[in-house]
Amino acid sequence: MTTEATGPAGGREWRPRIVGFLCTWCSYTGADLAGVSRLQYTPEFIPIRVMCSGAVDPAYVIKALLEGADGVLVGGCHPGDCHYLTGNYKARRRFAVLKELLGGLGIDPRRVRLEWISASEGGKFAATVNEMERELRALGPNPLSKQELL
Amino acid sequence: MVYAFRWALASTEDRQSAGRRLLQEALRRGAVGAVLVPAELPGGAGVAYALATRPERLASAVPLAKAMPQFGPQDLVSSTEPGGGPVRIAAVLKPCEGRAVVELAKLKQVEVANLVLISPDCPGTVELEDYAASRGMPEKDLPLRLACRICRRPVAGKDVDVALGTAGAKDDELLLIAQTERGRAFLEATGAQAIELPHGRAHAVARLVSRGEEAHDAQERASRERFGRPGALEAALASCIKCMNCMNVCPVCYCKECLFYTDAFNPTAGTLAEKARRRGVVRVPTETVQFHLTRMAHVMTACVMCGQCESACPTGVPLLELYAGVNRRVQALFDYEAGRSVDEAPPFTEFREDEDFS
Repeated sequence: MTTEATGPAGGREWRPRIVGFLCTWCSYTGADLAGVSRLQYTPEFIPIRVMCSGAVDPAYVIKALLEGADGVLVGGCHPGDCHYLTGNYKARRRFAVLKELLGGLGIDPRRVRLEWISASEGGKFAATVNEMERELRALGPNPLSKQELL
Repeated sequence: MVYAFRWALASTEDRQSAGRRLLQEALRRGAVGAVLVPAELPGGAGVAYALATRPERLASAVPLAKAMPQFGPQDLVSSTEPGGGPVRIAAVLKPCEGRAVVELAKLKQVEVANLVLISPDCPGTVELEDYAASRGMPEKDLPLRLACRICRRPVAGKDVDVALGTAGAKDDELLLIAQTERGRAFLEATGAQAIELPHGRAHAVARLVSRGEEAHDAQERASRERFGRPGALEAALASCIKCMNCMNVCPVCYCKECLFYTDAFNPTAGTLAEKARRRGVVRVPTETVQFHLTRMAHVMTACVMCGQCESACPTGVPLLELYAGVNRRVQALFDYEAGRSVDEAPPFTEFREDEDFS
């Protein structure tokens, strides 16, 4: 995330920046499929490949939000399809806690999303990212990323 | 099934000394080999936990102290071991600490097999420095800690072996309620007198709980309103110096290897300079917001709202106020209440295939 920020007043049109933690077995491959299928989605999407959605500690999601992401997508295998059998179920619980926390602490929980996207769902991947971008545009830039006050 | 006992006060005795005498008697008769209990420190320095094996060394014990020293539940982590441990310990812990022990037991950090957990009906506690300043007599005018003012469960949970009752008790006695078979055996061994459970007890306890729930819910609403405003969270955390006291005194924070001590959270010169270059300015120590949010995400399902984090904070970060807005709701996602029951698996250790939190 070393690109210069392009805020609403920064000349170029502001586009929400989305960090995606994508399971290598499904969502990351789905993103790949979206690419080779030439499906369009925002260039401000930053994919990070992880071994399992269950390996995404809330710390990573929080870090992304504090370091300039306007939204965070966690992509995992559909329930029942986890390569490690149960990682996505665990991710689902952790994510529920994170959303509840953010909601209670003045951070719009719509900035974070957990989606099940399989390796064959390139279309769903692109649609999810686009839908998220639309929602984040309406929400505006993430105020938290300007913080750690000073 | 609960069994009630009474422990009569001697003519010149108050409840504090009667409780102390009970523990001394338990050691003397061999009901347990050791007692963990708050004790007055010499010279009016306040109160700390003592692990005593000889009855005469319990002279300064204050089982009903209106203060809560740190590390009670953690002391049990280090003094019990799988299979039971070398010595049977009676531990007199506040109800919130009892809940923390239940959490730690489920996470296999405390072994309860050789433990007799005792919790008094808790009238609330004052800050340790206030307690020390009042020379152990903080009866009337000292403010209770916020955690105590909004405590939803000021009495022993169902898995605590013995409730040390004052609610519903007569003036000249301590009520002892054995909630487990182990608690019953312990009380019989101390020579306490078996009685019928007084009629007023259940009602008195219910009143304490409902008063606590009301206060808690009011704080929950106030917290959500306060921290729901943009910038309020960052302002509340602004004074944090990342000493991590809050984490170190937390009774349910137990990982032997902690994320916050890894390189990921401790910038090297290069990464800090790069961050400053990128942003123009960077607050040091860095990652205070990251620290608190992550800590909450990690421990909120197990948080018993004892408030030790806030009491240990040197810069007055309103941690309890933050937690009050989210604690109950986070646990309610899983129909869970930290420390309520040893039979309920901690939310992060299980899942259901068909659940949906969206």
